[in-house]
Amino acid sequence: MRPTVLIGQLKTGVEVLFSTKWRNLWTVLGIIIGVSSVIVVIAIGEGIKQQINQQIDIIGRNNLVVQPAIVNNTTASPMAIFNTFDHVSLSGSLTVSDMQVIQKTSGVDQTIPLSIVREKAIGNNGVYKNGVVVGSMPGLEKLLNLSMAYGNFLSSHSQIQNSVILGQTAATKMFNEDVPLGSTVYINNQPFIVEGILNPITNIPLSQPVNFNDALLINYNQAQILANNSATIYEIFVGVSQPKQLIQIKNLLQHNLNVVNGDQKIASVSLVTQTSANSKQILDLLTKLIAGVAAISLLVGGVGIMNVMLVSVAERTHEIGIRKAIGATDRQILVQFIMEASILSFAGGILGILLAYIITEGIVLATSIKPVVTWQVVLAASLISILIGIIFGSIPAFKAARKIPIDALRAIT
Amino acid sequence: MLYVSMPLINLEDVSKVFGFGDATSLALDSINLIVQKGEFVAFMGPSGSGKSTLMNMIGLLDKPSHGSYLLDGKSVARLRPNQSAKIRRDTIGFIFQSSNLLSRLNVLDNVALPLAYRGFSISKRTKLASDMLNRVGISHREYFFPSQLSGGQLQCAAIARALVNNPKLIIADEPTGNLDSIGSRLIMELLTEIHKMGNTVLFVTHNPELTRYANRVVYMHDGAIIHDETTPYGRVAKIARRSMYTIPDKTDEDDYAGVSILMHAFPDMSLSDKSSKEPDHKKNMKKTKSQRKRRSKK
Ligand SMILES: Nc1ncnc2c1ncn2[C@@H]1O[C@H](COP(=O)(O)OP(=O)(O)O)[C@@H](O)[C@H]1O
Ligand SMILES: [Mg+2]
Repeated sequence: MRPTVLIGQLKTGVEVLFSTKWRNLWTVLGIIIGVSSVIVVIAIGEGIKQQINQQIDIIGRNNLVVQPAIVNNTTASPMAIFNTFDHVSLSGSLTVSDMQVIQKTSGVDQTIPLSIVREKAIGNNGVYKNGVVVGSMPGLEKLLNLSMAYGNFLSSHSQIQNSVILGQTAATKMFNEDVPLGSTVYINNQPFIVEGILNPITNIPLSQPVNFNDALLINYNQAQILANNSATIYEIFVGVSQPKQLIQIKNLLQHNLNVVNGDQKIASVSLVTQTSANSKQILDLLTKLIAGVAAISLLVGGVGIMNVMLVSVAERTHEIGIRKAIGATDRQILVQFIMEASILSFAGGILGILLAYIITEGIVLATSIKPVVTWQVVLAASLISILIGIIFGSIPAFKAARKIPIDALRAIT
Repeated sequence: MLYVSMPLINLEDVSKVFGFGDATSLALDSINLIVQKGEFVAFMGPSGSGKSTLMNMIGLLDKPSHGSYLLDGKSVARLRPNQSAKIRRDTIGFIFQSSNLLSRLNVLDNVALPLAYRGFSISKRTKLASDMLNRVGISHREYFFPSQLSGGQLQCAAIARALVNNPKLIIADEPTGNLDSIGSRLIMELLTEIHKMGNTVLFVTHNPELTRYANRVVYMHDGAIIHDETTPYGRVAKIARRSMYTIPDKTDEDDYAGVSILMHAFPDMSLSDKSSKEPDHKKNMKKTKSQRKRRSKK
């Protein structure tokens, strides 16, 4: 077929699209939903992957992470990725003896635990229900890229004195002052002095169980004292002195931990890059799952297109008759209707892309996730929507093309 | 009549059956018809006599159930859809009673549509369509939509569309059916002009006056050609004059006997074998008459 014919048919297709009623919008709803959900899911996945990679870079590729073994075996709960657990991990925990074993292992340079004390903190406004008391050590702020709004992070000095670092939300909720530096927080009736306030924290994928905005950071030793040496340790970051021996140290650590736990793998040592690989696996699984749902809605959208095109062909039988009478071949009619169907579904695809854009902007505003929409995804979504039009439009188009001219002409419009 | 070259249309024993089983109807009954290039033929006859069926057959919109059809020497009775589409596009211009313009396109695009199907460039088809609209005298309505035109203007546009591909054969099925006398005259004069340029024109009409424009009148009845005469231009055909002045009356007995008004109007034509100047058609007539008898016995 000559290109000029195609251009003519494209024009008719667009005209028909704009002249036919609003029902077309409902028809393409399936396409809109399908396309937008695919784009949003992929964008979220991509955004989280980028954040994880940034996190890995911050924590350092040469560090190790020790976590309760269950966490790794079950590759954590999928929701953990979205950082929605404000409080405590559901999985098992590490113990004080694990911590000691790690500290004693040769090649280990730095050991920074994240532990949780199940005690409520009391500020000027009474008990802060959302507060979570975290015991850690100096150096965590560098590891997790925590920055201070006011004051200082935990220091060796604070090992002597009871001091606490407040997350941004905790600081505003617990005290009426703008900057409650020097105020007193009571944890289990013990006074702690506020020495620093953190800047708001968006997202830390590798330490999901704690929302640092609600955290009250105290020294690990103090935490263990408060909890009678039973504070829950859910993560230990391990720095090594010789990065070249990372794997050997990892294996040694794992062996030592297994020995101290009676040959049971209760604690699991992994490379920082490995922990994130788990998250990526879950992400991929999740992406596939929602992609399946999106595929179904695209299928529904395709059937909708087919339906509206069948109605259109029936309604426009007389027009088909006229076109055939003046010399349109079956193929030209076929191409015309397939074109109309794909313009329709492409329009749905464009609306879906716009909707996806709006949704991702909403996600940016409402959550700490930063979805990333790549041009490849947009291009793929456009092509898929056109393809759906071609596939589902072809049955109605064949019906139109096969009509016998005189019968079609006789049809009343 | 000059038989110097191959006829443009040559129908032999063409029949058309509609429906199945008990609902079968014979719309065309062994039609034999030869039309030479350059003829201007009027088709007349009562409603349901098969004029439209015949026009559709000749225009390749429909296929005969039986018989052969040579168009310009080429057998076209059993073509594949695409082949007949291309012949319709390149050699036949169709004009219907209702203009059958596409309501979504403006007049210019409607007229240019056959050119689009031929693959002409947009600029070329716009120019050709515009020229054609100028020729039929409605160039001032190029960008109007069909709903904004009068009946006569619609038919002019339809004629422009039929002519834009330069077809050899123009078929007009009651082109003036929806028009008043002034509109009818305009359309017939356009057709005459087309005819003068060497095209073959077939048209169906119920208006005896319009046979003045034709050089041949074919009268149909019950799916058969019962009369075929050549007439000088400008004069109402004899057969048409008859139907003008005799106002046929049909009685209940006629109905019962299956006799139509036409048999009253032309008793000599349908009921006797009187000698005629047209031996070809006479033969045909005899056959149809006997077939009709056969049918009525059933
Ligand atoms: N598609 C069809 N199906 C069944 N019968 C038809 C069809 N088209 C025409 N006929 C019948 O064929 C006969 C001739 O019809 P037609 O050619 O339209 O007559 P005219 O144009 O002379 O009024 C009529 O009896 C009509 O009922
Ligand atoms: Mg008719």
